[in-house]
Amino acid sequence: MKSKIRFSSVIGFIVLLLLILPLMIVIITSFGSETAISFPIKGFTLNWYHNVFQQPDFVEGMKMSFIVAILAATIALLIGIPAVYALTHFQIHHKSWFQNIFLNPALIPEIVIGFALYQTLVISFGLPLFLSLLVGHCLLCLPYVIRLLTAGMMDFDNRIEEAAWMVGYNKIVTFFKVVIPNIKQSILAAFILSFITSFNNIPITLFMNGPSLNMLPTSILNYLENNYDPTVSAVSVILMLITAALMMIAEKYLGLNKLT
Amino acid sequence: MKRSTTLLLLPGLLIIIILLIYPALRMFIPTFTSGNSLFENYRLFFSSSNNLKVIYRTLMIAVATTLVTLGLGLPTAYWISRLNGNWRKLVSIIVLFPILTNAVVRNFAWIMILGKNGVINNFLMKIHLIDTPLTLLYTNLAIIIGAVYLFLPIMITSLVSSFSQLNSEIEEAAEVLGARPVVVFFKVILPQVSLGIFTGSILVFVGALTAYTTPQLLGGNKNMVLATLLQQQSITLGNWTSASVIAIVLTVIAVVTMFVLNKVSKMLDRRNNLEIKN
Amino acid sequence: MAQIKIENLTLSYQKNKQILKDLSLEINNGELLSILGPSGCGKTTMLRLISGLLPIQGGSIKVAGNDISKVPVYKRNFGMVFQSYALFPHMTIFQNVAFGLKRKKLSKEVISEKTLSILKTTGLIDLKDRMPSELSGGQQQRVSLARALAINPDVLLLDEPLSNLDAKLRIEMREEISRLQKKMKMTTIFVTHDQEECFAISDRVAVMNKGKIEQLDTPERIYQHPKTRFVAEFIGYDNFISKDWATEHGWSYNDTNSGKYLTIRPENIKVGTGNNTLKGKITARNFLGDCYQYIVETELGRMKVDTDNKDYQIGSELTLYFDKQSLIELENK
Ligand SMILES: Nc1ncnc2c1ncn2[C@@H]1O[C@H](COP(=O)(O)OP(=O)(O)OP(=O)(O)O)[C@@H](O)[C@H]1O
Ligand SMILES: [Mg+2]
Repeated sequence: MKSKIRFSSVIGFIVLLLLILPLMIVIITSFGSETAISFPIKGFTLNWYHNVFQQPDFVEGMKMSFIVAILAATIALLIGIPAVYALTHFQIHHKSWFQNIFLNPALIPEIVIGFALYQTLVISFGLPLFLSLLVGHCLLCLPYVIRLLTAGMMDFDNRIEEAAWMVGYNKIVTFFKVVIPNIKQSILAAFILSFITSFNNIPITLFMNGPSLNMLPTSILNYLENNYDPTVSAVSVILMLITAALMMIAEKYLGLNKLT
Repeated sequence: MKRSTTLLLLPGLLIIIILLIYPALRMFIPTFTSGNSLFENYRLFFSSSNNLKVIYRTLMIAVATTLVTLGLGLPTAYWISRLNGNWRKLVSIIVLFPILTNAVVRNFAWIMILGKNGVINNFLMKIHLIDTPLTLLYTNLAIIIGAVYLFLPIMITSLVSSFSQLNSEIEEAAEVLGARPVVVFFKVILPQVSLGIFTGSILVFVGALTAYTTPQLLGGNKNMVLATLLQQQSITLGNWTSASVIAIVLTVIAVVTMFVLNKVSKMLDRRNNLEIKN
Repeated sequence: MAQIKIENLTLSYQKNKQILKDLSLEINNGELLSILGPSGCGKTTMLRLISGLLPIQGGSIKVAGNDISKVPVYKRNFGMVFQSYALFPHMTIFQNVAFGLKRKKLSKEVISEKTLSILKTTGLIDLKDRMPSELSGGQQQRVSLARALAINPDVLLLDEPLSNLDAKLRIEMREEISRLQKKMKMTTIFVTHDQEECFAISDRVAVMNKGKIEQLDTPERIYQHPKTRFVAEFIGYDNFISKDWATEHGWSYNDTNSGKYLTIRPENIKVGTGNNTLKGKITARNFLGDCYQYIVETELGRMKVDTDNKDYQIGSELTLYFDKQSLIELENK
């Protein structure tokens, strides 16, 4: 018993270090004063953070990525909530079949989704890039929404909803006054996960960005092709701060285990 | 189906059918119809030794990543599942944080570590173990390291949840009966977390198989995998049919693996349950 | 105000498996009627049909003469107390009770006043700012009742409202329900599978079996004159004697119908000789608190006999005497 615990705790500790150290290095190099990334750093400067905001691609990309992530998560919820309600409340023939359709996007590799959407929506239909990208990100978020909300809805006792009908509220009002408040944790969890998934996505975004549509992750990728300086470290730190902020929100309102 | 049910399901169904399944079919069908014969495009694709190399590399990286994450993940997850209170929370945060951090950031960290003037080479040169930098970046190994870093937290998370459900009494009972710790781990604990192992392996394998960012950043132009080849054929070269073939091959490998591993895990799970009952 | 008339109600959840079969029932205005029946006989199903939570498949339900099958749940103004309470978890007790009133176009003051008054009558006033999760089962039960009563319902439907309470609280609560029901003169349907509970508070009792009403009567009539073997067994008649056998052996009993069985309560079987007797062997003795119950194997099967005498020995022979006046005729089967 003892030796097993000791063995696993040594490995576990090393693994944790391996998980943190690379990110630590990124953080530290973002403050280095040399123009080429070096570790350990020689001097201290905040110039690279300043430089991040001098890059129109990064600033625009950040804005765009925020907008797309919020829209995609919201739309996925607006589509997903009614579907989950129907799937959990009504007797439907071939219910698992429908469930699988909704989880479908998780089955197809993201890069394939991106490619297929680009071919059909952008090239054949001539849909604006922004709309096509939004579609892609909604599809990406939908499985998360369906999975988390189904779990939340299953935990909710249908009798509570019926009790509201009995005291005189119609089904739509009941849905907003009784059902939604009781699954709001799942909704928040689904939103946060969807937001992060969309915000961080590269494989789908790759096909549907361009001079007119900058997204942050692909902008960083492009920047890395031509430059290798601590600006990337600095923008990485900013991304980590966003992740940390979302984790804090999740921890405060949900408990972190809701996110996994 | 009742009208209200249809109404609630319709938006989602329409979006998935029109905006996902239809585009997928439009990509799928021409790969058969545009050639001289039905499988012409596939024959062409598979007859190129370069393509075969790419497929082999992709699979090799996915398998290696899965095995390494399993090897590191099992003891780590076992350890985490035995922690309580604030330690457990802190560790969960450390594991969860990378999952939620952009893949570009995580791969960029490894460029700095593995590069010619990177952390490892600098260190080795400083202690005079080597005098010319090693080529670590832009190799298959770099891709595997990056993918392990990317997917290890996911493996740990799915293993922890199944270790946490483990009944520690069974484990203790086995020890009371005199089994050595190593034996207990392999004969008693592992079979019970087989579901977690399979769930984690499916996620990691399929993730590594289809990952784009890691091979792109850490593999360079020489070490192509299916995902980067797809990107190259479509965006860079505009070779739609060939890109579609790659997309189908990638999807088929991913779906088949998922399906098979799922089936196997269900079978094993049932057998374990029976064994415990008997 | 609200007389309920149920006619030929049928329902099945799955094809070929009828849960309710041609069920008919009339509940008078202001009456408290209990539905008594074993688990799975369709009590909840019937209540859900009356409330509108399940759509009617066959038959009709009329309230005060009007067919209500087209009236949606939320327009019926029925009160319902669910077996699982089903309180709104995100609202305080006050908000739970006031929720139904808020929909009606009343001023804030009136809503508050009415809510407080209901909370007072149900003894919940001190708990009004708590959340449902902070209450005991019995308290939640009362909130559920208060919430149903707050909308001043035309019909009150109670689905085994006391089943999760301990014995003492059950008695308290059923008296409270009875008191409130009489005060507000609501037509009430009370579902239970506890016979003592339903005899204590009901004006009439409907005994239900496999989706049908077997007998509808006052509690006294049901207790003294069960009509069918099912009803008799359900309310504690354990001894059955076939009429053919009794006639053959020269018993005297009231023979007024074509039914096949006579029944008698365990406490009415005496030990004695003469006519109307039956020999048997004692196989067990149980102490029931106020008497002893002997299990006696006879040629008619097992008889249960309650008596004060504790001296009969297991294994010994006993001659049982069945008084003509205590023998009750069942109607069929
Ligand atoms: N939603 C449903 N789908 C299918 N069958 C159902 C459903 N609800 C109830 N049943 C079946 O209908 C029958 C009657 O159920 P019901 O809930 O009305 O019984 P009950 O008399 O209320 O029993 P209890 O005293 O246990 O509450 C049961 O056999 C039950 O299995
Ligand atoms: Mg019931």
